[in-house]
Amino acid sequence: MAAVVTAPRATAQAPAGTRVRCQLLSFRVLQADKGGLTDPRFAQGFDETAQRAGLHAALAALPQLDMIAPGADTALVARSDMASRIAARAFVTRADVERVDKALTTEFLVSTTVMLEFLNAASGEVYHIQALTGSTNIRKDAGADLTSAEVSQAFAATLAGTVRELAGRLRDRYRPGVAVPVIQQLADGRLALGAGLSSGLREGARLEVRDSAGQLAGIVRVEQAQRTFAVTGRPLADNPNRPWIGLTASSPGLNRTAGQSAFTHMVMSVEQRSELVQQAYVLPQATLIYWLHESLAEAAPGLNMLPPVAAGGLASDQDRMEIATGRAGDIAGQRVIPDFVVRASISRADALSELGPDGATYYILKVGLDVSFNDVRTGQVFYATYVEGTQQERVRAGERTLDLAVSYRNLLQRTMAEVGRKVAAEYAPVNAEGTVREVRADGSLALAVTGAGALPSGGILTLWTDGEEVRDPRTHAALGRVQEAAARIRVVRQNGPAADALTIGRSVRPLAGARFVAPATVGDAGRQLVQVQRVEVREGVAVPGALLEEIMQSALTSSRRFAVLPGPDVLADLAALREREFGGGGFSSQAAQRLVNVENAQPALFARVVARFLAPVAAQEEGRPAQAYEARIGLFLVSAADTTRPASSGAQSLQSRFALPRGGRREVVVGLSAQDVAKIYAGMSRRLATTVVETLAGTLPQGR
Amino acid sequence: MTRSIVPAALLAVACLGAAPAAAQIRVPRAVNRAISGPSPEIQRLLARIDSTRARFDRATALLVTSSLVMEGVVSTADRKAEIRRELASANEREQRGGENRVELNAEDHATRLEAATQQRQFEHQQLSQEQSANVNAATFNSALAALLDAMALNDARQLIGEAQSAASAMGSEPANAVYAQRLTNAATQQLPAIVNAVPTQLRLAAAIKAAAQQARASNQAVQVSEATAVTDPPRRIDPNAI
Repeated sequence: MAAVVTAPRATAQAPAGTRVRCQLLSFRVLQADKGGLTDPRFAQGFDETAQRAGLHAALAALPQLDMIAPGADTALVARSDMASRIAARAFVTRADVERVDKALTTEFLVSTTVMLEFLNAASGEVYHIQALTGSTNIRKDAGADLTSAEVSQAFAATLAGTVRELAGRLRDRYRPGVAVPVIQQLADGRLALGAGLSSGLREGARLEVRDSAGQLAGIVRVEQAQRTFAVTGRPLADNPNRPWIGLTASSPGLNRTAGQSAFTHMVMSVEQRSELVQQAYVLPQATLIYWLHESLAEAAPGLNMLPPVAAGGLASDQDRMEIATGRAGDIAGQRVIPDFVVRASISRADALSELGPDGATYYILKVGLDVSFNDVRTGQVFYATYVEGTQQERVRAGERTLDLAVSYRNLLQRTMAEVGRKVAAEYAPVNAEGTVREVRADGSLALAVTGAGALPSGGILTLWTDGEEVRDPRTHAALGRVQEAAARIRVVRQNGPAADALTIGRSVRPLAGARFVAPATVGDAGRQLVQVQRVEVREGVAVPGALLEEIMQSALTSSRRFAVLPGPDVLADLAALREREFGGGGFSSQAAQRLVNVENAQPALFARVVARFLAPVAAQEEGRPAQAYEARIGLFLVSAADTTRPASSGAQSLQSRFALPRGGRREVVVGLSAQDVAKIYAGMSRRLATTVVETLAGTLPQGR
Repeated sequence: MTRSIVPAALLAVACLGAAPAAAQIRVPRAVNRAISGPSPEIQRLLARIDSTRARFDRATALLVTSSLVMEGVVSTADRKAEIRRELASANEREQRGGENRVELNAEDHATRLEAATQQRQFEHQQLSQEQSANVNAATFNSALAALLDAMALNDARQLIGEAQSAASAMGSEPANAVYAQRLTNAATQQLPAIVNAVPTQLRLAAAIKAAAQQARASNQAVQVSEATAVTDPPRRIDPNAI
């Protein structure tokens, strides 16, 4: 917990006064075809030159940035200058006005979202993203509309405020620039750098190695970062055999605040379930990713949010042309690798509506978000939650046409902020550490486990053994030993500080004394790694199988009796992500081995889900007419090693009755119409899944 | 009540004051009868008729004022000015108008209020504090008026027969002519007018009540909620029975 919410601190090795030169390339309104959600009235009044000057002035006030004057910002700079130079570009990704009719007033919520990217203009690598949504509330007499002058003024004021606040947040959250000496070349050609985690270096970081004249000698990526030193892959260079010791490896824009010992996170995807998301509320995925990134970064700065996977994707071809080399494709494979990726899906987005007794139409706008945090190396789900947001709207008969699209955006952003708050309060990964105490004759391993985390049965770990020693070149003092991957192992069971494990495949080094460090959850040992293998919704009301799978996964994760491995599709996505985003460039295959793939991720148990949702029937509830619903869910657990061997099974039925509204009352009840049946069942399934899993967990022997 | 009783009393006082001794000599029986008035039964009957008419008049006045208040909530500025004038003279006009006029007014007001209620014009109003207080008073007054009207209707139906019988029984005796005429008027005009007017007035009272409900509701949010369920505890079932 503390690891997540701890505010970033200044790093020890980076000089506090370091300023990086920054060139503000552009400040534009994001086009609609790129996911921009801007009111045409905003675009008309947006003067890029003036806005860019305003943003430039706001950034110039920050101590960490040395802004290049707008008139002198040609991209034609000396190569040596590139070592301490980053680029920035900003987009207005959203600008709109939501009208809210209240009893005595009509209120207008004017919102603008600005996203600022700091990037390497030569490679396209995105170092940091800061996004913020600002809003202004304007209150008028009931029914009165905003004049066009008021709209323009409100947009201008809101945008100015958003830019101001955005710059303020950057002050603490982005500390650009890392420069560390190469202190040793390892026997296999890899390089050891004279600073580690505390200087902001993390696995996957891309560094340029330069000589004393500032000339580029090679490019390296960090493979492992330890406390006092870091190891990079073999440098990509015209002359790899040249002497490297004494040169400086640097990155002008790498964010040092993301290099603390806490875990790092990256938003990977925000899906929209087509079955339960009304077409009118489908938004561009990149936009959703940025919003979730913004919400998590705002709510829990300690999450160390790395630029999301979509980073860099907003630029148009024209923007790319402006970047010095235009090699947008180089963004791939150049990322700092996060510890966790965040996957989300919008499980419902709709407006339930009903005509009220006063002739007005009442809407309840709803959005539901399933969010999960997956270990990027094993794929394991570490945290899963579901957050639902609602917003009420009312339109008097014949009064106006309601555009719920803008209301939905505000609702979604509020709901994502709620996700952020929930994550900050509940999500608490810790480290589990240990060593191999004994290698038994049958090849199985006895582990000694320390740390607060508990290892799930079936969980996968990488074992490390000591490799070459790294010494300080001046004092010759030992800084530590390079860690070498020795084997991947699967935990069979943990019993207090002792655990049993089996190796996966062949080990490449002797395993006695080998160590492991892995993210883990706090809780009872003996949790079993389970994967939802199959979901079957039998005849009746159709609730999407993918949604039911997500619901069951959340229930299993929240039960604290199971650790959850996502389904093969998600694992394949994660593996593809590794290939596409993290594994390219000079990253060695050995380091890539640490990442999960579909072949080596295997659960201890498979879960099979069977469900049936009966069509609603008429019933009575306390003498009132009602609609009755019945959901039945069964969960079958079988051994992953032998799928014919059942581990446990259980099934429950849940009956709910919804009283119909009394006629003539000033009461409107929404959500009972025929098209809402699946949504009701989705809600019931969340409850039922929890109780089924709880009951089943109680009957299951631990560490089986 | 007062308006009906006072003229009768004045009449009695005028008769007493204008009776010279000579007249007493010339028509002693008539004078004696005039002094003593009609029989106690007829007196009680007349008092009941007066009190029934008073109730009806009171109900009428309350309804007219209430309906004007309710119309004021939805009316235009011109109509509001007109209503202010009407309100100021409502009681006087009532006294001048008589039952037929009242009946017509009640019909008018009821129609206007019903239309406004149906079109949900009251729903659009945001009431001032004063208007809210007025609407509350109008609701109470119209309810009171309905009660008074109902009592007046019952009494009137009963009194019509009694007044007719009493008028016939009094015969053509000159000394009783004035009372017989009053009873005949009551039985043939005043009481039937009440019987005819009350249903319209009750309709007006209902229209005022409906309009007031809608007007009051305009300041309250309609309760909107998503369907909430009463859920039984989960029941264990056979997994194979799904």
